[in-house]
Amino acid sequence: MVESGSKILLRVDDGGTLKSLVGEVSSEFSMSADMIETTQKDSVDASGNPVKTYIAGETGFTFSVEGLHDPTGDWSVFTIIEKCKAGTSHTFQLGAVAANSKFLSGTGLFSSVSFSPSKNEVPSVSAEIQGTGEVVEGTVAP
Amino acid sequence: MESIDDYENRAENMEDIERLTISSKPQKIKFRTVIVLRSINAPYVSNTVVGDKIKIPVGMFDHYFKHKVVEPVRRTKKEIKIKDNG
Repeated sequence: MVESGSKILLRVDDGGTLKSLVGEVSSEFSMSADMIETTQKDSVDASGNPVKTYIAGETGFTFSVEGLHDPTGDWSVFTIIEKCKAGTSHTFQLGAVAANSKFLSGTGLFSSVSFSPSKNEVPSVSAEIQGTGEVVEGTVAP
Repeated sequence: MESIDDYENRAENMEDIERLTISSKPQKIKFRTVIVLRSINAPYVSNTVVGDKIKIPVGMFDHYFKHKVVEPVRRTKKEIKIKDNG
């Protein structure tokens, strides 16, 4: 069964409690693998035409979040700026809140944060998180 | 009578309210104490050494146990069977 993306949140482990980042409107997880080229002069297809060949290299991931500015929130833009300056790593979890839902967990550092207050609009906040190490799949405990 | 547009707007507003209610509520993580068997770069097990007694979320235990990264301090009968057969 498909699930609404509204119920899937990017949250941070704050001393054993998962807390949402800013007033989340959207979030994203992105993973990529380096492709190492291994093409040689004799890398050819059945007809003798040259082809490129690759092997898989290291993998990496990022999280990102966009939200509405809420200065009273635990993880408002001010907290994120503070953590970005300190360069501290945190554990993030992207997934639904309900028991037995699957989630992705990874450790990461805030690599960028932006704050955009515009006239006649709720200010928006966005942040990028550079993952470090492995991203792990888990299940929300009942 | 409510138009389709009004209904859709109301449904979107309800979804927003539901999302904000869910997101504003902090959720306690349930932890389980385990012993580190292999030190890897992954959530909750980074910067540990073999033999360390650490706490990891219950929902991530299966992944780490399956990959022989951790073992529980006290194993259930089911876990003993998995380890012995693994």
